[in-house]
Amino acid sequence: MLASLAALRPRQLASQILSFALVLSTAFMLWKGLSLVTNSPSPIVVVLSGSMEPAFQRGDLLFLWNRSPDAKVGEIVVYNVEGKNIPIVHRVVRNHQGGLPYTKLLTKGDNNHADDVELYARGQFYLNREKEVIGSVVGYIPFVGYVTIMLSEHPWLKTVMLGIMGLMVVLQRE
Amino acid sequence: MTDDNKVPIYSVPDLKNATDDAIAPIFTSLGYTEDHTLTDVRLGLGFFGTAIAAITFAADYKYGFDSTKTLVTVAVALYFLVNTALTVWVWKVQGGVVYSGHNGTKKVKIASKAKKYDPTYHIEVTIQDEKKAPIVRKDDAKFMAWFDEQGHLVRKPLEAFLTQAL
Amino acid sequence: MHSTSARFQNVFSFFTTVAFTVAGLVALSSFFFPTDTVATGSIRNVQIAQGRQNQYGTLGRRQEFAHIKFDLHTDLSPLFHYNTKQVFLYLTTTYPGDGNKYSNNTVTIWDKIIPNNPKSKTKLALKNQRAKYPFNDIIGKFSDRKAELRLEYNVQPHVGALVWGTVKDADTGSEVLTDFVLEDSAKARKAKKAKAEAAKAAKNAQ
Repeated sequence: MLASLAALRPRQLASQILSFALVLSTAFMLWKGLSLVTNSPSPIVVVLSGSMEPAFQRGDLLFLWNRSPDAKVGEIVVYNVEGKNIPIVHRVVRNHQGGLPYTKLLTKGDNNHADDVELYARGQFYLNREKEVIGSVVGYIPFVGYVTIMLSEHPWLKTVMLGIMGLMVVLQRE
Repeated sequence: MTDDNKVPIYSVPDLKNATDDAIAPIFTSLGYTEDHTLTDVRLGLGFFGTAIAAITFAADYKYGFDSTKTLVTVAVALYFLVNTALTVWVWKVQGGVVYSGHNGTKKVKIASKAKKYDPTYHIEVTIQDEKKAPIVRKDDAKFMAWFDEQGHLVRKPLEAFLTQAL
Repeated sequence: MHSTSARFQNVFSFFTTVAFTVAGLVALSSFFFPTDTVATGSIRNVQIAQGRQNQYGTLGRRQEFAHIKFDLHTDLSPLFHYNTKQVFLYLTTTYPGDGNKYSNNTVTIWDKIIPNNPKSKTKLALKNQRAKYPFNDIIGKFSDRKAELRLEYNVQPHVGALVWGTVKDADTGSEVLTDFVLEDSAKARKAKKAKAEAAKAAKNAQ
């Protein structure tokens, strides 16, 4: 197979590489475009835990919107506590605002008994809407994101998939 | 070892691609010089676009979402502009041209086409002699005319088909 | 080899196209179900017991709590259709601030998940229901502020957009089902004590 790559003329080789690069870069730029429209650094997220069951199961795909400065009680937000790098999808159960630089939120997983204070930083009782919330859930597709969970739990799958994809695009035309 | 020059003879796209690739060497041996302008513009536009995406990726990775918003907005707009230009170039300007070259006095351009389930190779040849209006000729032939049963391309019949079209 | 992989690709892309088209149609069809005006209900007989106490755990300081009991009647059946996975029903109190800070406050005191299956009851009739969550304010005291109770819902679809709404009072059509005063517990106790003493004094004087 490498022999057939080497046999290509330079322009043809460049064309093959380009078609692979264009697939990747177009996917990335579409993602960035969606990110700008929704104003969220991560406009689509995959549910990683069962703390919102039965509403969301592991592997479900959520679409976020982050253009509202508020997050009302009952909305489901995705937040990233400063210093902790795990995004959490939970429901807002308290909202305190007015006369403050930012809205304060308390969240809780539907499937959890206690609220999220334990998950926040030490000594933190409320979330900062502006800084820590990356969006509110507006849309839902079940199960489709399960692939990414499989990929993160079995890293070798990632290598295999990338390899196959790369070879297919480089060797196949059209 | 697999034979790399073999083409699956039931796959029309593969037959077409192999034939397209074989045209340039034939014209070279007939004394033509290939003109790469069409391909080079396409490659230029394409790699310019991917470079924009790469820079966006690096900036986003290094500086984060909030501080790169303006840059990313400009980059996304520019990327899709370049991409549209590329699409227009490939469809309207290049339009299936697989060879373009000249032999001093004569300019030749060949565009090819094949339908998914019909093993017929359609070509459109544009010939332009110096200071004359270009002549356009259409021709077609079955792929089986220059592929053997194993899927090897046989050069002679293809060369005959092309020279006849000229 | 080529034709096998090509065939697999074709089948796979056909399958995903069909799946996403069907999902898209289902998601779009949900917009034809009106959800904002249909759910009705009422909350009556709200009882509040208040006091100062220590909360254990992270918010462990001495502060005021309100213990609420309520009667709730509601019919949520219009919210259940083929693209409803569950309805998340929640009762919120909304009250103004005490001073410049925190002028808008909303706190969930009770909620219920109603999955869409034949066994679920979509009509609720709760009597003397105790609030599920402790109710205290961010500043630790209520100081006679007036609170409003709303019954809200979030319809979770099988696929598509999530929908939020507020249950309207069956009689008045208002979104505020009832309101009450969050008393200053120290003041209330003092008043009660003074009243008792006055009664005692009156008795002694007789």
